[in-house]
Amino acid sequence: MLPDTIHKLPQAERFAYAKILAYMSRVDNELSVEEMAMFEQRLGTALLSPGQRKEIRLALKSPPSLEESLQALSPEGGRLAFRDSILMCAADGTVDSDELEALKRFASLLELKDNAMDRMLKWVSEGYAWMESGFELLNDL
Amino acid sequence: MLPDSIDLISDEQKRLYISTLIIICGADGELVREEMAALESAMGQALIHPEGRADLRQSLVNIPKLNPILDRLEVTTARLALRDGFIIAACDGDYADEEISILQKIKEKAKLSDEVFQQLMEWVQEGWFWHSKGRTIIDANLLGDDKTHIDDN
Repeated sequence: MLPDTIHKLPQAERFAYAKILAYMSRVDNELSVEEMAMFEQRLGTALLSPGQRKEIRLALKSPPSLEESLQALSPEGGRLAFRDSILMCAADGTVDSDELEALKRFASLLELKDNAMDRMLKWVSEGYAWMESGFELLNDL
Repeated sequence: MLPDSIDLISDEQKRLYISTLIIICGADGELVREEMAALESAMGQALIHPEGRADLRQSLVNIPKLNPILDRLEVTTARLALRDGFIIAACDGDYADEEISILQKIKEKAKLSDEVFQQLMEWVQEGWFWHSKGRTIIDANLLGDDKTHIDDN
């Protein structure tokens, strides 16, 4: 829900961004409720039209390849998709080996620095701690 | 932003939670794109059915009254709505007096103290810093991101 830059991308890029999330959601052949909620949350943040969301949900069954979707993204759009792919893969509490391999491949396609993945995983873990501190404020939810 | 307990509440309470956020969005009389993105994000996180989302969007045109919504909010939902209400109220850069007034009323329903109210405001700021740090790592900064945290490069 925090303010972000996704909705500032051109609509075609937001659509490609969502296709990448659809691809990443299928990497381990499982889609948990937490991953689905994260996926829907990011579609919402991207302000896709209801029609595009419907199309993306259908793409969950057979998403286009990472390379194909990346072609429609600017470098910044690609990096935002990378960040949110990590968030989504971690949504069920773990990033399994299949997801890790796919993320490494994604980082390589984006030509990110070697330590980018580790820094992002650390960042996600900090985000979990932040959410947890929010729960603690609200007591025993 | 991250996995949440919002999916543990009933469908009716989810709709009331979103209606509360809509009231906060409409409090200062204007709806900015950032607020709309946050609202859509909340509806997505709550896994509200697409038709339900369409109905809820309609209430952006005719903002519901707060008190009837508060009457039906359970304490747990009120607490989540307060927490996320702070996030959505901060989306346009500042807390308007009208937004604070609504958040105070939700706080009463949530049975939380003034101290927690203040801490939630600080918690949102911490989240803002955390999010901006993520953008800095991937070099996708928003204006002002570089001033909001010390990068641990």
